[in-house]
Amino acid sequence: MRSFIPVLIILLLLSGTAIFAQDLSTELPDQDGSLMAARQFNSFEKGDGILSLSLGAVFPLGFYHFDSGSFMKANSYPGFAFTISYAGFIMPNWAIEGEFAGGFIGSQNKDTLFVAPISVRMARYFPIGSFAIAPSAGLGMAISSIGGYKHIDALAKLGSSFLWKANADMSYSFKLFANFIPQFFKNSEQSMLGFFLETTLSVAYHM
Amino acid sequence: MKNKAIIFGLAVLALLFASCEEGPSGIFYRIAHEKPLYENQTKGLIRSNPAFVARLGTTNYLGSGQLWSKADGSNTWTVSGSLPAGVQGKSYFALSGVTVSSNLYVLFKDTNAGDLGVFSYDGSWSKLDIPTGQSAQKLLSANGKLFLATYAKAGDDEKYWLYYLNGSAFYPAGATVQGSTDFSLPNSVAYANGTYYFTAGKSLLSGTDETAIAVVSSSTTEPKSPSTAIYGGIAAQGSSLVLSDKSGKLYASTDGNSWITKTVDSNLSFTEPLFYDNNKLLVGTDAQPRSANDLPRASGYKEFTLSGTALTEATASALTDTTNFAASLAGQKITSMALIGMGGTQVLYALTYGDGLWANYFDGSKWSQWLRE
Repeated sequence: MRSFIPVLIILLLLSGTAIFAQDLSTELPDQDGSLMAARQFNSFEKGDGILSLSLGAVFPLGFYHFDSGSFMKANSYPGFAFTISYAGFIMPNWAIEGEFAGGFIGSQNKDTLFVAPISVRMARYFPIGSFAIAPSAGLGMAISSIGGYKHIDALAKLGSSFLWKANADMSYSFKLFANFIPQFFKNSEQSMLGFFLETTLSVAYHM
Repeated sequence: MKNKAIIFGLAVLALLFASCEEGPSGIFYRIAHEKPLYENQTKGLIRSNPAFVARLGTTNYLGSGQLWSKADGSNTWTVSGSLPAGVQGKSYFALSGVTVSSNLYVLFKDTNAGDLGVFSYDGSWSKLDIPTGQSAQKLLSANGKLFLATYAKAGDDEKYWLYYLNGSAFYPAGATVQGSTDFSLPNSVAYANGTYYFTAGKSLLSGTDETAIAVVSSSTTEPKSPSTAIYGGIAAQGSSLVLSDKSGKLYASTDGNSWITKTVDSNLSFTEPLFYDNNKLLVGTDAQPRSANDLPRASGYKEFTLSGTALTEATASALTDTTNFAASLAGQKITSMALIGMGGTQVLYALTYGDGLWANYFDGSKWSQWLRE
């Protein structure tokens, strides 16, 4: 995992470099002189795809204790988060998004809780000029790990992406997602529902 | 196609609800319930490999690279400023230490593993005479006696010696435990029923007098075949004895002759057992490789209750709860544990391999749970 993060950062930087390079090329008037056209979101068509790389933060919001029926504070600290996602359009403005994410949360005692939500979501894209809003909801699995112990649980993910089209091929986006992770153990006293908020900035390549 | 979809769906469901490597506490449960364990930590001890703890007067001493001390009422450990002549001003390791009556005994080594000597401390340091031509390795104490284990290379063999302290010099603790290849380094001692017992690799040593220690050779009095596992250590409480080994077994006896074996977990490698609160037993686990492809699991420690020769694994402990255990020692390699009385209170120490020193304080009514020192 540690070696994966630098690779991701390098990819993101390279993507950013590519965007700026393409920005310069698209600033030049093209044959029909329509610079603005390249920065407008037209309707997303079936067969389109968007590949996104994101970096940001994950905020532990708290935990619900099933046995006692009480909500407990997070008792931990926000950390680094990343996501890799692909949205494939199956009909105009509707896409299925697959996403692999990871978040590193600091515990009270300097351990690191790693949560890796893997989800499949249905998204609806609303293009508004150079912008698009894409609320989505989905299900998946979350791998949680701390101190050498791991657990795999179900996941529900809900949120939205806010995209700004930089040029014909690339866009930037802000993503805000909530993860709900119910964690069940043989000893029901240990079972909790975790709430996490992911806020990331991403670069997206339109395929 | 439909069958493939169903199989895929079932596989995904199985993956979703499968669990792996559940710890002693739920992961989110632990995060939500954790209390700070680091408030009184000593920075120099983080990630250290402490070798021993001992108490003299109102001060606890720790060998962790250097010699550290912590007076009653202090929150943190400090490097001891008082060192014997011959050690002071040098780079050294405090390798082994014990307290016997009103003296602290410490074995100091230089950075090349050469002996700087064994010294006693009762307010001032005195050097003891140790055998030459051997490397001093371990100080042990039982029944008010101090023992010294040494070794030397002899070709491809390693020979071991066991001595006891008489006055200010060490003398052989038995004619057959001098330069022997029949046992490895004695690492643990207990005294019960008028007999000393030492664990020494695959062998057990015993004797009713500190001058007559010998390897136990009879298979009727040794709890296992010497060709199998290595002993982790031995502890005594009254007439009861408990042995541990590196293959996850414990052996209990009330007379030192007849032993009852309890197989706990073959994935564990036990270190020296320790009694507390009369019949409660703690046994640390390490991850010392047993062979090239056999690496035991580090699991902190296990707790048992001893009744006669029956050992019952505890399902709950007064020392800790699942959250505290998970956040402190659950996955650690524990090299040894020590119980030290401090007037009306007690402190239980867990010495780890690579994760420093942990303590659990008893205030007369309850334990503090594990805290990082």
